[in-house]
Amino acid sequence: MKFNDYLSESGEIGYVEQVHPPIVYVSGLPGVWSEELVVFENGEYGQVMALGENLVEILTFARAPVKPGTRVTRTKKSVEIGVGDGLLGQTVDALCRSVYSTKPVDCTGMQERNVHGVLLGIDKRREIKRPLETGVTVVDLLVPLGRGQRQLVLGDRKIGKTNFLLQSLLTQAKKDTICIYAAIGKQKTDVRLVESFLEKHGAKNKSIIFATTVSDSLGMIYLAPYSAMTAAEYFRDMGKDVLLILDDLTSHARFYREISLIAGRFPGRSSYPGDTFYAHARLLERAGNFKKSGSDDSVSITCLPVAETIEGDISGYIQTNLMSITDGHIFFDKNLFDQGKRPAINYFLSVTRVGRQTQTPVRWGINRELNTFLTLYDKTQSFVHFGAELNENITSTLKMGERTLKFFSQHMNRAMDLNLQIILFCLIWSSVWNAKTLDELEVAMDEVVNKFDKDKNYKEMVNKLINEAKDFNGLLGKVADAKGQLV
Amino acid sequence: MHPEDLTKKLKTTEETNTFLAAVDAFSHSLYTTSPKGVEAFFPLDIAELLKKGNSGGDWLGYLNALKLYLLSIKPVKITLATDPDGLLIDNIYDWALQLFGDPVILDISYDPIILGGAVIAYGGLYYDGSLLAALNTRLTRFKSEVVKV
Repeated sequence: MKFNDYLSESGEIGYVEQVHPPIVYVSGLPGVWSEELVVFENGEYGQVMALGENLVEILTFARAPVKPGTRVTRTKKSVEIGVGDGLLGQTVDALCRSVYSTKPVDCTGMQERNVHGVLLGIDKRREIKRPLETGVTVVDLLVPLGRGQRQLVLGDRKIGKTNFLLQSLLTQAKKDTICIYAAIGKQKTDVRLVESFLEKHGAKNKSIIFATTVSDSLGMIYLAPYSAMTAAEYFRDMGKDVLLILDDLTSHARFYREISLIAGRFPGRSSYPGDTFYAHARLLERAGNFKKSGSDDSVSITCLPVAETIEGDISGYIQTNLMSITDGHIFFDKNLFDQGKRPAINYFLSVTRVGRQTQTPVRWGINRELNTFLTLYDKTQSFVHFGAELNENITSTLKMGERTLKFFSQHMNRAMDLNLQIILFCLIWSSVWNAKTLDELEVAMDEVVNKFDKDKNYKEMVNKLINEAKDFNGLLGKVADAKGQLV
Repeated sequence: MHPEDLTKKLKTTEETNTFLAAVDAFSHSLYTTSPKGVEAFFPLDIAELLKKGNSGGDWLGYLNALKLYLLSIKPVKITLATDPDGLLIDNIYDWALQLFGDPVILDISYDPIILGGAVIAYGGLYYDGSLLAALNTRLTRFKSEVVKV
């Protein structure tokens, strides 16, 4: 519909009186309600933020500032976007319009949905019981995630957060999960990198990119994560599991702060408005594990919001807000990154609150062994710094520690199947490769990975070994028996 | 003089803006205390009205109060297909006064695209009574009937 159609339908008109981009104040529109979508004479849209005595405060989604005197009318609906299967494979803005004029969104069968949709109640939610593989060894074995979990990804800029997210996205896209990536006020080149990664690995058709860049209006950037969540809810209602990545919410908070300060809201801590927590909590509460309609199965929206830290400080206002909203966090450590560790995840400072309950006894056993061992290895390393004499136990701990860390270091483009991770760890843990140097270990692991990827029988054998094992010790025994076939 | 009497002389936004500009000019002049200064800045009929209204002698305060009063009046925005003459404006003003009750100021614009009738906006409410809108409605209805056939 065009402006004139809305005007004749609503019978209400307003005039832009004051302009403070992206906020405008409008006179008229006597019946307008809060959060209603309004349309300007030039075809641009806006959202009602507040209702004053004489003027209505509107957040515009237009890139160029709206001129004073511009006519505005109501649409008599909340901010709604069209969501549907036509979005798959597309890069769209926060209003679900393709960012490329040459590749318009196929609107067939689209549903109009409110971007600030209603939260599903507790009766529609289910306990998180199904694991979510990321393909990143250190996360899958040490900080496991479950479907429907909200896990914060935290760390300084440019130390591999996006790489981890893309690996997770790729792993899930291969498992038929719908993947949604929301770029919030990013550089255009960053969005292009994500696009080309997905295209290169054939995951584009299973994913949607909600792209807002720094050149977009503040209103559009503010709306992006809500729109992405709305699309995720559509696919959830269609019975499909969704992985939603919000990159990143600290930028979102900064943009929201800018909007609020321009609108004259009272500044709170670090000048953020008082409802910053609410803005993020109401967004992230929409993710979770839900009852699938018409069956006892569950369907999930797993959400990985990103928060940027400065100099590794995880005690910032927004960071701690997000930690308290989410079900755990994965912390990317700058020091580990500088030491050359990839991915630079600090497992001691990472938390998963619901992921462990999704693990099988085998994975649970590995997780327990690894946690105990890595703590011991860390202590032993500190002890060695004093120049103490090294006995046999300490030497073997240090050696196993080096091997375990080698096992955890992973190339960005290599997302590993969970069973492959387990079998590799078992081979290292059962000392099958003890005679090899670290370089030789890497070659040996590569051989197993190649066999697993290419040899169907080998893969079946590995899967069978793991599926038949009752616990980790049982699996170690089976691996020891079958090591001739495995290596 | 009651301020509402003044609005009968200032029927359109054009006339109101001229009056407000005269008030500003008077406020910044050297004759702010003299009734003769009022005659120099305002048309005779309005000057007489002002002199009747301000018996106290504080011209600046009186005119500022009038200015605020005029600015508080919601304009009736009317778009016509033809450029209206004085008689038409008087007729529209009487009609608007009767319809809205309160003192009104007409904000009249001219747009031949609407072909005939008028488009009216007042207090945020909008009514399209133009010939163009009526023709469009009929044309849409006609098209849908043709499609049905």
